[in-house]
Amino acid sequence: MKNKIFLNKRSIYILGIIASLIVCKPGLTEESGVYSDKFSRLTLNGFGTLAASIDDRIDMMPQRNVSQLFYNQFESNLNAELDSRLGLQAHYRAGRNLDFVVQGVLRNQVSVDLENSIELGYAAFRPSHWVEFRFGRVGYDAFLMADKRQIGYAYPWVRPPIEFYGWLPLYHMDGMDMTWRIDREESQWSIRLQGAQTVVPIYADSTFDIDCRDIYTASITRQSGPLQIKGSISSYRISNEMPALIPLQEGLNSIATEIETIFPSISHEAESLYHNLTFSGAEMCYSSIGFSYDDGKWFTQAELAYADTSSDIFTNGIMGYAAVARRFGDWMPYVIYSAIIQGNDVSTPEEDWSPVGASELQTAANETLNIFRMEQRTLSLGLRWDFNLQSAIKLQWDIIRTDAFGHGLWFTRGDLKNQDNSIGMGTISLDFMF
Amino acid sequence: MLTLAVPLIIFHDSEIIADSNIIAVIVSKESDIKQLAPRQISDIYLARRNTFPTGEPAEVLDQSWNAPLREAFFKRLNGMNMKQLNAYWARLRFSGNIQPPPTIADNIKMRNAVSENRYAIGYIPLEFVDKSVHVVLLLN
Repeated sequence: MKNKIFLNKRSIYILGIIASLIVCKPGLTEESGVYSDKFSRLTLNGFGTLAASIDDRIDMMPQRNVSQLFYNQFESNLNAELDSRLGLQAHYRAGRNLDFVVQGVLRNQVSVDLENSIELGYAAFRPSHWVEFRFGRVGYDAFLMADKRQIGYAYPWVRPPIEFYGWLPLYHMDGMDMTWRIDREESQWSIRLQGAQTVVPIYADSTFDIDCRDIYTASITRQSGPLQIKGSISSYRISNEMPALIPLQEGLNSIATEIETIFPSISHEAESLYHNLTFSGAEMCYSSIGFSYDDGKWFTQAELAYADTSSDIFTNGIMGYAAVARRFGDWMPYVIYSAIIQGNDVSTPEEDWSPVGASELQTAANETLNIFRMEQRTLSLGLRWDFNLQSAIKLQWDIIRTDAFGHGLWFTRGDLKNQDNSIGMGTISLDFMF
Repeated sequence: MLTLAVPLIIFHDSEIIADSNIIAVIVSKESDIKQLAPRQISDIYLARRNTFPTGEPAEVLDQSWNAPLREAFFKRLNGMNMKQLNAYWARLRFSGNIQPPPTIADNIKMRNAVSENRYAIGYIPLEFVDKSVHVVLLLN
């Protein structure tokens, strides 16, 4: 499966780039003016974050996002891998209407390899000034910051609000997108359509690559001076099954089919649990609206999203945040409030399965579903200091509250599942670009 | 004053921009653009729009990223300092959405590049302006 996916992506890259070159080749010989050979065509840039976090819990460890994996998780409260990363980008301007971009990011994630470290790798072709096509590996365009999460220097706070972005598994996608730009006198609009696929590695007893197919995203953005408003909707499906869940699924399926006529209520519950623990064929739909305002003195940003899934094992529900920051010269204090409310209730036994001798199976199924639930709120207070032209230091203190059975964004040790918890976490980070 | 300043420009084409120097935003003589408001130029240089108000494409030329002239230009145009500008472009550039415009480190080359392209827009100190370009805004 993985080799087949790899060949499909490569084909998309090659076909897209070849198509771009074939279409644009006549134009390349007519370059003059600003995009002529007079000016440097290749630029190399980068960005990075060096950060360290410390929290006040010995039995809970945070994740910035679900793609992370930490070894020796509870040996220390200090974590330097949570937010640290390094990105390098090459941009080649082939002409007035053709660009090539490649970007790699080194960060903590389940699979640190070339395939997963390449965040961008695309050809951008603009047949006119109001439309652009990109082919290859592009950023996920849903939400305001989905394609900017890696770039600490670009936003005031240490990390994008975890309740809004931590659960989102998609970072980049392999496919294509089209952007239409409409410039009005007082505002500018852009509409983007994306169609792609991707593989998301996660860890569940072992590394598992979630195969996300038919990723379709539509977004519309309005910019008017300092105010940007964006709405988006995105859907995709999972095409493969998680091996770690197969034994559980087989047991539930067996219960559901074999005792359907004898114990119909138990059969129905088993069927429901089986369905909610299934990866393959699961469908996701995300919709969001958000705004960002930056007039040079005040910076405010807020988003609200609704995630709907066909299987409760995946994150679903309502998530949102609001952030306010103010500049005082090179200093920018800020405050953020973020929250996620899981859409499905805590999974609990409905029927007594002891007559069929499957109480342990029922318990395991419910516990597995509840492990992934996310229900928490965070109040963050922070300060950014731009001490030179291309670097900034940030200090942030997070006050986090997790509800019982809502610890999906945490590694936990011990039996914490049925209690509310509070965590205090401090972070210092150095963000830079070059 | 302008006549007296010319010999200095010929021999000292360096990036010295005093606060009192006027910055001229220029387009080609062949452009249909006669004047532009600061907000319109700001939107163009921040890649919020890629067309002039007439609907024609705007091909942006910028000065070197750390040039004093560039810092003065944005400070006068929209109040952004270099740190804010760097963070702004980091969002666009590294997300893959928009790449920054080409840069030119020489005012005469900037003027020549703008004069040769009817869609180009650039900026130079006023004393570098000649008849080959048209000034659409002065920033003082």
